[in-house]
Amino acid sequence: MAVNTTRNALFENRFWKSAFRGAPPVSKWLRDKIFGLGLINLSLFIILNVTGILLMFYYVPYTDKAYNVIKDFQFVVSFGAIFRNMHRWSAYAMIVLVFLHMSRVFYMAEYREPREFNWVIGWVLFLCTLVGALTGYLLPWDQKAYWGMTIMSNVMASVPVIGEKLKFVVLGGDEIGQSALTRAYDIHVKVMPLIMGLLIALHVIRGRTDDLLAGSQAHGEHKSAPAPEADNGSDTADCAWSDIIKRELAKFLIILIIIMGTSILFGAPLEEEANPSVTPVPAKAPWFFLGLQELLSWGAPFWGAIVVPNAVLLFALLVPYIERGKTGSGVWFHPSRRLQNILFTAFVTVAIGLIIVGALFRGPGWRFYWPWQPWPLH
Amino acid sequence: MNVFQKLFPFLALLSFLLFIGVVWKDYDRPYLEYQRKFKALLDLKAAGASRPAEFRFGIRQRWIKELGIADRCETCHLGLEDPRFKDDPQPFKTHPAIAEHSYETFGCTMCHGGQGMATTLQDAHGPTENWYRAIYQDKFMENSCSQCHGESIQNQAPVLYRGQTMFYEYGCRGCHKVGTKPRTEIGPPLDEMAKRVKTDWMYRFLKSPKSYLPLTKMPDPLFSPQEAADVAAFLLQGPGPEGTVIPGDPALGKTAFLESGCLACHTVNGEGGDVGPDLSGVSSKNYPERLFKIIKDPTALWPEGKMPVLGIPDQDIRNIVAFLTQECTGPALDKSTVAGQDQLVRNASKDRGRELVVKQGCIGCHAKIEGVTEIGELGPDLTTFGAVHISFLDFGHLKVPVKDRTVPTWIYYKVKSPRIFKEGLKMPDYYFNEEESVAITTYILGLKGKEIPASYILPLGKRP
Repeated sequence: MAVNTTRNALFENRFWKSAFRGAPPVSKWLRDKIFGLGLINLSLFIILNVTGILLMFYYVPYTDKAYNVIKDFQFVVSFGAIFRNMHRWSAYAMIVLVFLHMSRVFYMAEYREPREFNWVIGWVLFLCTLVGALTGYLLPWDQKAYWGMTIMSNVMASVPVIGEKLKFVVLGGDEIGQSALTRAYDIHVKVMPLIMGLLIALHVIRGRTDDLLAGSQAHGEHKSAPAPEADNGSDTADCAWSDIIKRELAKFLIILIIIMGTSILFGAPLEEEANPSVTPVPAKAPWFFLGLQELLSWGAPFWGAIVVPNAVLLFALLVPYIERGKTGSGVWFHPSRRLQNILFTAFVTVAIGLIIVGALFRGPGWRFYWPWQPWPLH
Repeated sequence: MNVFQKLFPFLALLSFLLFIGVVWKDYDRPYLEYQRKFKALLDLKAAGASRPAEFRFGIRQRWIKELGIADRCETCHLGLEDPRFKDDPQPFKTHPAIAEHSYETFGCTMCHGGQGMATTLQDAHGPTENWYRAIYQDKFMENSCSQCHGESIQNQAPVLYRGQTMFYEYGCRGCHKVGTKPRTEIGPPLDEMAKRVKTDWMYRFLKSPKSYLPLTKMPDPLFSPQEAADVAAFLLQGPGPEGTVIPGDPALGKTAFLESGCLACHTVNGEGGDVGPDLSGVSSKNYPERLFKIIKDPTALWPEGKMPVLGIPDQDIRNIVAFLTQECTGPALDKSTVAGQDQLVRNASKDRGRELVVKQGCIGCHAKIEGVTEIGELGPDLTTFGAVHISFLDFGHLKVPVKDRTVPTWIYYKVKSPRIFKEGLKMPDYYFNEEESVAITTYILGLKGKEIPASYILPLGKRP
């Protein structure tokens, strides 16, 4: 009884109720979700923010000090190495998982009305993830960072007409130096977390409201083929939210476990200090942009740097507004969307294939080498 | 219940355990093992003392603000300043006395190299993927002295001094630029060669300089027989010996030779000094007409040469020439061999010879090569070669374990055996032994071109 009284005093007073509204009803869609890639990405975003803030306590964005700070993380700072590892691996995982999240939504056509705009927000979040990862890539100020960014700035410069100007604006000069590092740092620790934090909130809220708005319409198939456990609907009203929270928390823990385990076992890569006079052979872009570098290496910068990537991005942005079909929403690989799914799968395969070729099959002079083939020196 | 909900307690436990793992991973640094060992040793040594030994676990660091270095070597090298550890094994051994070079001012890596920031053995000593500048092995360490002391160092760093001296004595500067140091042509001028030396000798000398003069500073250009003949043909173009020598008396010549003190500098048949070249085979080399001219006025032929004008009367010189011609013939050679060598040179191509002379950079040491004028610097500039990045150095097909793929090792191999890495390299072979190679390597490693704060610069007197 005493417990109940205390509980009532705590949770049933006016303040608590004003601060924490009762949760909106749980839709069937939310209850039956299994992957939860969105929440996993949110978990990674949280891990990135926590570890990132801790790393910021030491990091200084000066070209002559940054690398030494990373060495300090590695050898001296308490938990420095492990947090740096966690930050790096979470970022890489997030790039992959955000992409998977988008793919899942595409395959299930969940961007259909009224969710079109949430897809747009997700699209922006994907770009933000890439920008955040790219700017973070420069911060250790090692060879990998310096030359990866050099490749990226050359990609920018290969844009016709405005390319050189664009590169100048992004780097704050003609070459990568203090201005570029300062810019990357500010974007990485201020602009991106702010924008992403706001957009994620919006994304989640929109996801919920769209869900309620759509009701069962957006998931028509569920009506005709209900999941077996949906039958005992009586318990959803009572314990669904706590179940869902527990379930999502479990996913968060899984992510945390994977990231901590990886970080204990594998150190984040760190090469020699940035040295403009020593060019690694070959210089490679960050892996998540290697596909673009591979595409550009075929010549035709106008197509490789402008037309293809922008067309793909624009198409991805507009897909909810272009697609005319109404069926197949909320279902994996619905037969009525065969063409869309085939096209999308082909695009994903090519994109991943380009990255794999760029990462594993390219040696000095961007010539083809098998992964087991030794590279000639010079 | 969802599978995730069922797993929840298990996941919570696992994540807690991993968190413990993270903490443990952060706590259990490799240096602690050394510190524990050191503490045990310290306790032993302090057993008889009135006060128990004090020891604090954790990282030790020397931050040298002026040099911008933070050396954490003493995290493991704990007995550095404690004389009680002078007989203990590394990493605890006492550092030898270092006089003015206090740890507070110089740290460790300033002299030893390596990665001072690192606190694990592999990272600190190197080389690792992100730190190629490994600590110097004992033999190359003196290179660090030149950072502050420049080239004004002598017996304080004997290896460095020797390397520095050898570098200029052997004419390395002929091909390799070092800062603003002027090129010195250490070899004799090569004008009018046809008037001076015999064809077959020229061929044999080019083929293997050290078999004629074991002490010569001329390196072996490693020519093939045809290449040697081509170069000989190019050098020996022009008219042959002129004038005639009035024959002298070899017996009187021997007396005059001994009385004039020639043996002070020259060796004949194993006797004499080694300032000048060994004369045991000189008549297989020079025409008598030329020998006369050389003895009469060596400076006219080679102003930078060391041989003085001795003022010997002409008749005595003729006798000495007769003596040299008769006695100093060198090892007996088969007539047909000599004729064959003559023939080879006569048939050789002067144009190819010229190309080889240009390519090999003979002009680096020898002046007055007809038809070859100043052609710039021949070998790589060594002004900052001590700080070269390892990725610029190609070990070629030489199998070197990764831990030895360092700049010092590369320079050492290059100096000791210049063509070891691959075919087609130009540098001639000096046949330096290990000690000599180490000395020169040490000098080259010291050429870092690194900026050191002015307060650290301390010349130790002028170079002679």
